[in-house]
Amino acid sequence: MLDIQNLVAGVEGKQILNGLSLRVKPGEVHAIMGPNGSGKSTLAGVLAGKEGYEVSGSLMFDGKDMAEWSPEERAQAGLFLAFQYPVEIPGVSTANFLKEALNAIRKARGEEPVDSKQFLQLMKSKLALVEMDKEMARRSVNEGFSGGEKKRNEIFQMAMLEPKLCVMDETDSGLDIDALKIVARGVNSLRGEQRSFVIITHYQRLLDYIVPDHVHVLYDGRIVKSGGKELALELEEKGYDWIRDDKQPA
Amino acid sequence: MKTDPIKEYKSRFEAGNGKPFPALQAEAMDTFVRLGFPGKHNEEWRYTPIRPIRERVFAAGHDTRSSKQEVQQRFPFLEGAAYAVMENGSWNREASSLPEDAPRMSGISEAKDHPGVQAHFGKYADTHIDPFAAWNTAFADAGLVIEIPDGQRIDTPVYVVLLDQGPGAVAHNRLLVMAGHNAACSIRLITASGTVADQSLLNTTSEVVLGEGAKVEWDVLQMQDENAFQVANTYVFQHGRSVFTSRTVTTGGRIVRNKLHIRAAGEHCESNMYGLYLGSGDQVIDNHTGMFHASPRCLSNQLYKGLVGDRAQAVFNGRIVVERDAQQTNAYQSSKNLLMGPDAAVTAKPQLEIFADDVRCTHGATTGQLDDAALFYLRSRGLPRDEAVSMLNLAFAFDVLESFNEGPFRSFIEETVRARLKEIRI
Repeated sequence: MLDIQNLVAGVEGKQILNGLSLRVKPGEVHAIMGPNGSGKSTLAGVLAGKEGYEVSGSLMFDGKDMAEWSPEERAQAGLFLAFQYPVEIPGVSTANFLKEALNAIRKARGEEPVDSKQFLQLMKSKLALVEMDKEMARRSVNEGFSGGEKKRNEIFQMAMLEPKLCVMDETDSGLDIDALKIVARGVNSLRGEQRSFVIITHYQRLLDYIVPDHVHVLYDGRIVKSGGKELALELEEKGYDWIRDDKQPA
Repeated sequence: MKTDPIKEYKSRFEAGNGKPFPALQAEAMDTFVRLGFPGKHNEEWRYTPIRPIRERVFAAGHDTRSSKQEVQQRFPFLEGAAYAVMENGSWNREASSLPEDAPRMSGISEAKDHPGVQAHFGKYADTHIDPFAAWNTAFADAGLVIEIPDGQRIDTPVYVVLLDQGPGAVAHNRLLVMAGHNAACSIRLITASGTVADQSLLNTTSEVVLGEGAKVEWDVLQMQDENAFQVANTYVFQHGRSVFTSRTVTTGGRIVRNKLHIRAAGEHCESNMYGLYLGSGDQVIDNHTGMFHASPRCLSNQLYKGLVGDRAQAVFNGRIVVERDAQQTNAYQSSKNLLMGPDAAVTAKPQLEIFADDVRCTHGATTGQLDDAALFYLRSRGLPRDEAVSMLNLAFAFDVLESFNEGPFRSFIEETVRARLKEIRI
């Protein structure tokens, strides 16, 4: 599904990712944990095709080299980024833009566009997934939403667009426990054999609810340790200093 | 030798006869000759280059007349509506449609002895200092008078279609709207280029008087061809407790200059001004507003938004004058612009002159670029860049568009704006 080899990325001459490699198979859930400044958000941005990064290394998605693809081409190929800080867009309703987005993705896949009626039906079922009100989808994107509402809106969009690979950038940040549970429930219901997740997070907390198959520790722009879900607990217990100390020469 | 345009216009004026207001019009002609066309040295015109208007001699007129069918085909929202077509400065009655319940409309020449016309014609325009108003007044032989008697509230809007016509022709449109006590009406102006228009000029002067408690909506859609010119001067006089709302959407025209002056003369008036302008190519779009608060306890509200790309230039100059007696005035003004390219330019200038002490007055002007974070967000959902840009641009324009009443006219404007936004790319 996703194969990253020796990814190097920087912004304005400052290198942030220093040779990161990661392979995600269909259906797998990978957690990437790391302290502040380890390159978590850069990784999310580079995967989604955000402009402004100098990138080298290999980025394969579904067997294709996506390094030169625009953000929309990546989305159309089935990649979805749940933002750490979802953007407020006054004047653009979630429902309206999502319908256009869905149809752009369907077009890229050679599928017929959905009409308004089909879209509303689809929306209704997906809204229920994250306990969102229909009214929220009619409002301007994220405008005046609470932190929890914004994150639920991300998962709602994810559910609507049915991506193959979901990259979640610190989705747990700023969430209280109730919102966290709703978000996790939404994500878990989307898990499947053909859909993979890369969950980027600072804390282990989210992983209590979305149980990963693999956990990686991102440190100083590369993955320094990988393991099963128990690695997250170990990190939580010992803190990131443990990794740093571990990396120090004896 | 090159003809001096002003001399040519003067001799044309002297050759004309049958002036409805001979003394007023002769004086206006003198003023026009004395003032001449404004140049860069004139502060009011400093950012609005009008050389293409100043240097040519516009032809007096053109006899092409559109048919009713042509007009309705082009503006489908007119079907079944009350509307007057002003073509090349005079009323094309055959192409117009005025149902029984429409407000009374008459030509200025035939209505000149009407006491209302006598009382109001030329009373509000600043003919003595504005050369275009003076030029218009001198040639305002075939204007239109719309009268709403006291207490009459007309629910269905009245449309006035102003067409320029013929190559290099100037059309002096003159409008006088008189809304009586507690009268209400909605007037919608569409300015567009006619079938044989080419580099022609619409020079329009409108005077709108609102009696006590009257309510007038004044919606303007300016969509001339890309080589056409337009100067629109609008003067509004509000008696107490009246409500005036203008909404101006400018999508076309090589040079468009709008001056909108409102005088809130009585207490408890409300004045709303919305504007949206979309500029590309070499367009110059200038909105000069003047809000004159002469009486206490009035409210005024201005919101102008612009999207400007290519080498286009936009000007917003918002003047608010609060006179000494106009205590407890609330005056708001906001001008927001999106620059869509490195060569586009916007000059936004608030101009506040406050002589009363118990006043709430706020103004703000912003000029920014497209929000990159929002653009990336939409693209990351699969929307192609161009579509995402259009969507964000439309969202930017949205709060002006939504100020229009819903219906076929608003839909038409939205479609026009949407199509136009596709041409303004970054």
